[in-house]
Amino acid sequence: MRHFFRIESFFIRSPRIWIPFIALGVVLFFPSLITFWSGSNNHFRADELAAYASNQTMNSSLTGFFFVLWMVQHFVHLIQSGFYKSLLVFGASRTSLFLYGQFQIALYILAFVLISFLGNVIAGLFFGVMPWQLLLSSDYNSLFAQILFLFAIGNIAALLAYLKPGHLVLLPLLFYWLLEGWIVSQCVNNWDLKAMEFLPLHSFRTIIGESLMEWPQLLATGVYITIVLGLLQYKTQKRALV
Amino acid sequence: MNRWIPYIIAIAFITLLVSNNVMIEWRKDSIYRDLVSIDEPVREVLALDDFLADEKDAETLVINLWATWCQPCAREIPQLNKLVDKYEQDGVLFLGVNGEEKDKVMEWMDLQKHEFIYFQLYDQKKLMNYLFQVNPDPNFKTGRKPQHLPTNLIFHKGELVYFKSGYTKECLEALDAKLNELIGD
Repeated sequence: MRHFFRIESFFIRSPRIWIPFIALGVVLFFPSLITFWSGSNNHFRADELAAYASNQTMNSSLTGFFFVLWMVQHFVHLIQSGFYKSLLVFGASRTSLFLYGQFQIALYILAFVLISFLGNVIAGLFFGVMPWQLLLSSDYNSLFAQILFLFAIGNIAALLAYLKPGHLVLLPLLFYWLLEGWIVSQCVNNWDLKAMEFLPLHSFRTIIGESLMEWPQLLATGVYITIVLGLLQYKTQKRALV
Repeated sequence: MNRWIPYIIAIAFITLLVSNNVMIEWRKDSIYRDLVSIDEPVREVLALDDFLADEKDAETLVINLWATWCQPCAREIPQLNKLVDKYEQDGVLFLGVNGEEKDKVMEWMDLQKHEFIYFQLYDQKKLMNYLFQVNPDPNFKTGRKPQHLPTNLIFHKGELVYFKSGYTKECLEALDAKLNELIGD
């Protein structure tokens, strides 16, 4: 674990990581600003506004969307540049490679949550909401749900990178993300067809949804994460790294 | 052992997911778990009010959550007045609950066409938050959309028997039908 952390902290110190992080912070700041603005229009003030903004951020899949993009390009870069191969050459086992991937996902989840919180803090200052109000008014169950959601889709990103280590793999993913959202909303709104809610990305999105998850939904999410992790382990063991 | 690692992670993920869900559900119930009845906070506020203290034991309470900035709430006032006329003599207590200060509401009321003929509780943000959170929808996570106004609730014999947000003809008809059914009992 200490070894993983040392390698990753070396990556994070490089401008190749922190410059995109700053850009991401700026990108996430604008939705936060809109959330505070809409909350303020809904007549929320101080603690109520902080709770509203924090809940909206925790229930939004936008952070997840950027997280998938980030993780895919990160994993693809590490595969294509021969970094994973070099770890194997220097004696790391394939299992530790899998665990290292999980560690990277966990570390970047923390970074994303922190950046998203900072976006809220800066946006909140424009509406008279102090950082401690945001901290005290947050729903920590929603935060935990957001972390679980990011973990699930982070693993999908890792699997895609192992299956097709090229940056273009993002395009079908983005297409599928939009298509699935559209199909689910069409089926539910027009035909009241709930079965489509069990599609993979939608199942993961229900983790951060407005409703409590029912048992079939929990089961579907559990099956999907098991399949994703199983396949990721299989690809880590079998892939001929560059 | 190594090949079981992803499955161990998956089990840990599912366990955390289920625990989080159970915790949210538990927190939702915990709002009124320690109370004698679900309407106890309302009756406590009534007991502290000089004019309404005698009404705190009313069997049926109809509560309208509203705000001056909510246009549909203003349109609902004459409709609720009609229901007050219809059910007042049957011991039904109608209450408007507002989170704003009394002076501000009075100032607003002076500019309105219709005045309410039911009792009002002002500056009751805490009570409003509580009432939003007793939403009986089993899938509704606690305290998510308090901006849904107007919301009408009926407490009958210490139980929540009606909860609906929004101002529509159907909502008011449903409120009337529910009161009719309760009076019939």
